[in-house]
Amino acid sequence: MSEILNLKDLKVYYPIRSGFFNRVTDNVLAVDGVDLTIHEGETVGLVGESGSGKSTIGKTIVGLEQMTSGQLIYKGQDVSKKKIRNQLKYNKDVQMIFQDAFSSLNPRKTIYDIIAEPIRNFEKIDANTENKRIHELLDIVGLPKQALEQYPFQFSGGQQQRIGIARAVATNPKLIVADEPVSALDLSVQAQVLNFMKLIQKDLGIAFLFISHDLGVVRHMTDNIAVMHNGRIVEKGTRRDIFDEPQHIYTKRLLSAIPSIDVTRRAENRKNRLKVEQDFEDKKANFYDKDGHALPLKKLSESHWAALPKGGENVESNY
Amino acid sequence: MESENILEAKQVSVAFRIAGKFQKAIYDIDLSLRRGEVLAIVGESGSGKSTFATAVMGLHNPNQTQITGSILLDEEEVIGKTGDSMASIRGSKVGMIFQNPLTALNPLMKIGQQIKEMLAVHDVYPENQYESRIFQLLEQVGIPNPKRVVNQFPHQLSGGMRQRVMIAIAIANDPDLIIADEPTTALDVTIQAQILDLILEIQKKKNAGVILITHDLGVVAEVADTVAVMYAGQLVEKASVEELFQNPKHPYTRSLLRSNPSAETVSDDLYVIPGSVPSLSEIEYDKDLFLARVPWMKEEAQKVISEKMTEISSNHFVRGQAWKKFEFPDQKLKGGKK
Repeated sequence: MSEILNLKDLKVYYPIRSGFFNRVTDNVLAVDGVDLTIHEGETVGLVGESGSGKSTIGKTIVGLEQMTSGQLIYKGQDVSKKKIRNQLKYNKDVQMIFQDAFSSLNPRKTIYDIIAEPIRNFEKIDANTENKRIHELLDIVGLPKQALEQYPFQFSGGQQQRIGIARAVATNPKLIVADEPVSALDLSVQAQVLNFMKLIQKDLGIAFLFISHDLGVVRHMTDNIAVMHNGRIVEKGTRRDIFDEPQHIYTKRLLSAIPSIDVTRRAENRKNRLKVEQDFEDKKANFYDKDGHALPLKKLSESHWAALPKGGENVESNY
Repeated sequence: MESENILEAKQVSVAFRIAGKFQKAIYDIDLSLRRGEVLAIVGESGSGKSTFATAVMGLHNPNQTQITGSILLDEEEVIGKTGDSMASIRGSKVGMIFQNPLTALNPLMKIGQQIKEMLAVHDVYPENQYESRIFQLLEQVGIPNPKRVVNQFPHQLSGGMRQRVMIAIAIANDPDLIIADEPTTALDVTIQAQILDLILEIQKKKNAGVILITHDLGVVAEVADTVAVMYAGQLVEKASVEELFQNPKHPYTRSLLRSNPSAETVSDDLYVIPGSVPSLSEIEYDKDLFLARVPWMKEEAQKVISEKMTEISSNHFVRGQAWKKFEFPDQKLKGGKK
């Protein structure tokens, strides 16, 4: 599997302006030095609490947000500058699925026009071929033909999300950034959309960057996971590394907070969670610098990296 | 003497006026809740779980809704009460926690004022105790630095803090019943765990009853004592939490559990419930409507069945007989092993 996208030391700062001349007095470090690699056809999960910067990374990748510094490398070429993106068809190859499907669809366009828009933007094909292609796409996402003449409000939440997916898939992208694609959906609909995303990945070989705060969903969907906290990655590794051998206290805390379906171990889980929570408070000073930023990542194995302090805490490591 | 049941709902139906006609959104709901019990109501959006909660709170517009049946709140009939007589119950006997604290709180009012307003409407605490009660509440819900927070506006607080303020308002007058409608859906997992702990802690202290409305099965498994599953305005299964998760019977409950991507099960494909919840005008209450969404049980869906659930074992209620035959297709292939 070759690399498709590479983030190198990505930084996105939001300026805080104040004072007489509205000068920049400080910065919000939304993303503060993130390295991340996505391979062809794989799903990378990006998890963390709200405000951790995970959505900012997604937006920066599709170009909705300007990076402050760092590099975005697509298939070996630096695409940090807009000009190069057009030459490389980057904008065609990298698409996005949004959390709130309804507000991401233009309410005054029919489904046909919504799905056709990216095709018209990037490909010059005649009306007939376009028509055929849109019917194919509709087939892929499993919506009836009548849907093409209808408007977004006429569909349920799950169907709207599938229209969003059809639009994202329309240009045959290589990478789709999915920002909380199922968090607004009911359980049954959620299962539908998740299965469906797996299916199109298998059929079309698309890589996903799956951004979510729901660890159950992330575990189900992803091969590799990066955990973010306060703008930095605190731990990354394979699904097994993160769920079975978490090393960073923040990852442990996140995992212990997932409500478990197992009713019989309820008391045990709760005790464990409170212990981890306490642990987090006690050891916080070791794992973060004095500004509250995570420490640099340390390599633990070929696939597993964690922001651990020097010496000390490493005792429980199995490596 | 206090009765053991804080809430007793009998044959509650709620109908909304839609295009001039009244259409039933929930039908014939029987539910009761003991003091100190946590009852979770689960179901998809549109299944009627919030409609039931708002009926208990008396929040439906009487001109647009028809409510029949009986809801006894601490032995007092709620249905039919309007205006002031309902307002005196709401807030003092029953408190509600809403999903979105930002829309539920008044954006132009300081936190302290909003809690004070709740205390002032009811005469549970005398006026000279308001201030101490406000600080006591804020401390109880775990807000650091209450002295600063009382003078802040909702937008200055984080999501978790806002939800804590909501809880403080809901419990301000020591209600016997707390209704929490998706209290943690908008929150991160770590904050969710803290808020659930908080609700339980308050509930234990006051020995209050809690109705928890959620679609997150993990949350249900963590906090509930009893679980009621609703589908298309009717109850389809009710049991203790252990029984429901270990021995689910109704096809809908089993399908829901199977479509949940929990951290414990890593299967490749999640079960997808085909179709969607029927709209109000399509609901036939003498049939098991969920079976219309089970492709291999289409003929069962046409059978007329009782509107009530039957007790199949101690305190385990299931609606209809279809659960006896229900099997997922892949289980059938394995020779129907259980």
